[in-house]
Amino acid sequence: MPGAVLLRAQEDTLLRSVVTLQEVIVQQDGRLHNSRERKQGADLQVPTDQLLEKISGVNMIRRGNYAWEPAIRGLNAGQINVTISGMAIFGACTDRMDPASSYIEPNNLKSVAVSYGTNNESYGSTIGGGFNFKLKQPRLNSEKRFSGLAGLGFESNADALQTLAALEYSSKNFAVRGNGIFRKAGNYAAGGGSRIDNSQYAKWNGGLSAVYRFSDHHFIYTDYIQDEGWDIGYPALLMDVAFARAKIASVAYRYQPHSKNLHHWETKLYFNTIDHAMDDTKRPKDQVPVHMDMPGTSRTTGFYSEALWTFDNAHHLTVRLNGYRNRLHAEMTMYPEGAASMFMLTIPDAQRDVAGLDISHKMHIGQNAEIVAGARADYTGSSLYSAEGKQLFSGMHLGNLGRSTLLYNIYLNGAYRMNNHAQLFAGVARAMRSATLQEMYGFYLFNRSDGFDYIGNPGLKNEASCNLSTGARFRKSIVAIEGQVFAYFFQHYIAGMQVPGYSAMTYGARGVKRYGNISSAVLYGAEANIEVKPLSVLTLKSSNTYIHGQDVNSNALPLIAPFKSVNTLSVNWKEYRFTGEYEYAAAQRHISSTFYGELSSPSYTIVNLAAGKSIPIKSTLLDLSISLTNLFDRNYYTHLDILKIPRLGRNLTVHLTLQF
Amino acid sequence: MLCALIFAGCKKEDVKPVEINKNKIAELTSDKTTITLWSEKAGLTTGYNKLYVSLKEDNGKEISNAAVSFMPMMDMGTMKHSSPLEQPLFNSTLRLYEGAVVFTMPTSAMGSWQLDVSVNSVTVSFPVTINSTTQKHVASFVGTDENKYFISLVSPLQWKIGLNDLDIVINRQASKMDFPADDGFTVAFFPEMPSMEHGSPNNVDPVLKGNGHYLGKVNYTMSGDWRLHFKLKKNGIVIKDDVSLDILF
Repeated sequence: MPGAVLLRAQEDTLLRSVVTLQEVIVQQDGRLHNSRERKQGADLQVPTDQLLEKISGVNMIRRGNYAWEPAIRGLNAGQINVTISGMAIFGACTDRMDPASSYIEPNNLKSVAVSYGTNNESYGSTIGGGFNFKLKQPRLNSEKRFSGLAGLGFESNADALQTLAALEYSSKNFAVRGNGIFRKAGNYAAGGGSRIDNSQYAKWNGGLSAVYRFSDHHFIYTDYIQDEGWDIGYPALLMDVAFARAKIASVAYRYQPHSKNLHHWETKLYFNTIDHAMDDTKRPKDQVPVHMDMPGTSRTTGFYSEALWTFDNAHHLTVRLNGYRNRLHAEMTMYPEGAASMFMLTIPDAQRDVAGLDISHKMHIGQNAEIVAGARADYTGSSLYSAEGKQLFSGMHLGNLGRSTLLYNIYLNGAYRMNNHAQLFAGVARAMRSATLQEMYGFYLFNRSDGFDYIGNPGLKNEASCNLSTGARFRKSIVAIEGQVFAYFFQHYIAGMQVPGYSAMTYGARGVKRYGNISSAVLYGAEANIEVKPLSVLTLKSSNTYIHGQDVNSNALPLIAPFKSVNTLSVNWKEYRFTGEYEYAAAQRHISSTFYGELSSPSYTIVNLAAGKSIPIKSTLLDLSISLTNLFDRNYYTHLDILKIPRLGRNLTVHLTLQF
Repeated sequence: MLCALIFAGCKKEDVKPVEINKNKIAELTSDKTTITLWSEKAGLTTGYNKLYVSLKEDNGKEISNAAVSFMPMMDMGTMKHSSPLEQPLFNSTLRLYEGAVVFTMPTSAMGSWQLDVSVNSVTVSFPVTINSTTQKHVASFVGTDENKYFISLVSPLQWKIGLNDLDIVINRQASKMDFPADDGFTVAFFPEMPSMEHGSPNNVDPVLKGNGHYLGKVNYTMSGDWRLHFKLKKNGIVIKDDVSLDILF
């Protein structure tokens, strides 16, 4: 968790135009020679999970030391949208072991666009915004024909090791970039020294991107990413993972005329496939009442076509048409001793078809105001595509299993510059989402958080919300302050409701829940960031977040992080940098143990230290980063850590990266 | 015009003998009549067996208006007994006499089965071998009314994961030779996976259809071993609190 190092990656510009969007730069263009900018995001060895966790308003749901699941302002899973350069992608695991973000490495990325609600950066209907992982494209006509990086890292805790490399070739009309990373970790030790069994992981990830300019304004882009994890432990779950494999491919055509109103027009076709298999063979016998195999697959094929026009330098019109088909299959075979094996589909061959149209208009009004207005409509069809799937679900839901709905999102975001020091911004949106395929068709999916088996409900209404947010930004001499408040007013909030009389399928489960709609719920919160720069070499930063959520029955919403404050002191002196970080999270006692099955969590404080030095050697740059996280070896967990498995104890991390 | 031609082409009606899509068990000829015994399943097993009879004259002509009846008999040496049955009736679609026998025990050293088939008062005896099933598809019990009953799963048992039709038949043992169907029950039931100790939702209790048959729905949430528990009442009085049948698929 060398967060102190990563915070550098966050750009803080005073006039961020869109209140609901933040872009975290992961890798700068190789052409930039300014060493400060080159340094930014140079540490590509930090896992994606930790990179996301450092983003203000983002908390991670953790089931082990791998593949954490992101939540934005308390919203997660189907409430947020995760895309990779506009491509829809869905994890294959029924137990949420493989969020889409687990198949992406910082080494693949240029930046991560984080949306805190609906805006013109989303590639689907969403309530809580989402992440668009923007892949790093090779650069045409670069000053250097060859560029790249190589790195090696080691962590004292869990004996973690990673090694990565990237190589880019650039010519006038053709450029190609390859990148790869290997990671491996053993069982980690929590604060105080206790070893967390089944927390190991291993993975590799490789990416290959190419761009070809076949005439002045016409480009072809291709991207391919393969990500393979294996032997991954999930101490918070009943099973581990034998393998998690993703193949992500796309080809895009981009027309980019200069000196015309049309800025660019890009059309992309893509396909991705995920194969996932759970594994219980590495668990002690007493933890495995029945051995089982639980494989799952997710296949997504889609496209988007988007164009951006600029008129009078003041109006930007974006039109985006996109569509995809996602198919999920998950099954379970149990092998009880001395009895016949048992088979069932846990996601009975579910299919989602989406076609959407997104139009947004960004306009400058005078020198000091900017407005982004937009609307999005989505047709969403859900069905079961196999006879076995339909037959299976016939026992759960009478009537039509297929559903089609029309979703619409509308939003209005504005920013107003009062003077050179202060800016106000506000946003309002009406957002909707369709229930996920798991929420519609899941078949006895065990949720370790509340101990219930979940059954899908094809009759679910769309979850909808009204989103409001407003804030102000102020910067004068050495001080910068930004404050924001936000609220989501939900209708038809989707949650699991206990079904009396149903017997659970999972050993030890407390019962069965079926997804249903709660008439309303509300989520509100505030974020405050303060930055003080008393000396040119010294920066003090404080980032504070608070969320509160409850449904109409006054039950606290689940997986809501408590008040959290991250405070850093950074010194950048010559080629050296030092960071001290103090992280505090309050106790979370606003929980509903009866309805959502949560338990309260205590507060914690941890201290992290980091130091680094960049050494230019001729035309290369050697970067050394050392961090010591959880300095006092505290035994702690966050409220979103499933089963309250403690996090890593003291951990010394050394990353060495050479850029050329 | 084209349509007319096609329809004309379809109008040709060949009066072909219907192909019998059953499993042949045995064939006997008596008094110039060939009597063939067919089964729904590949072999005969304990439990409910759909049985068919076809009759042919020696000139090959099918006989569809005969009076056909079954009489199964278990010979255990010291004693004999019959079993529950459904007397055959001519099914004009299948062109077969269709009936059923619930074999209550397998052929073994203890005794052997024969099935007497009477055609217009001429009787032939088919020796039949009844294999035991690994699952209990028929169960007998003595009710609180002191009567002995048989409860059977009606085949074919083509189970699928999900919601299935459930057909059971209940017979009372009036004597060792007489097992009338019993229409007097109210049936409640639930399925259970013994190796998992869980059940399933949305099952429908069987209700009387007639001739001792009760139709309901069973929801198998997964494949594997299932045990069906029945609770039987008559006029509000519990006759049997729990009698179970086992299936595997």
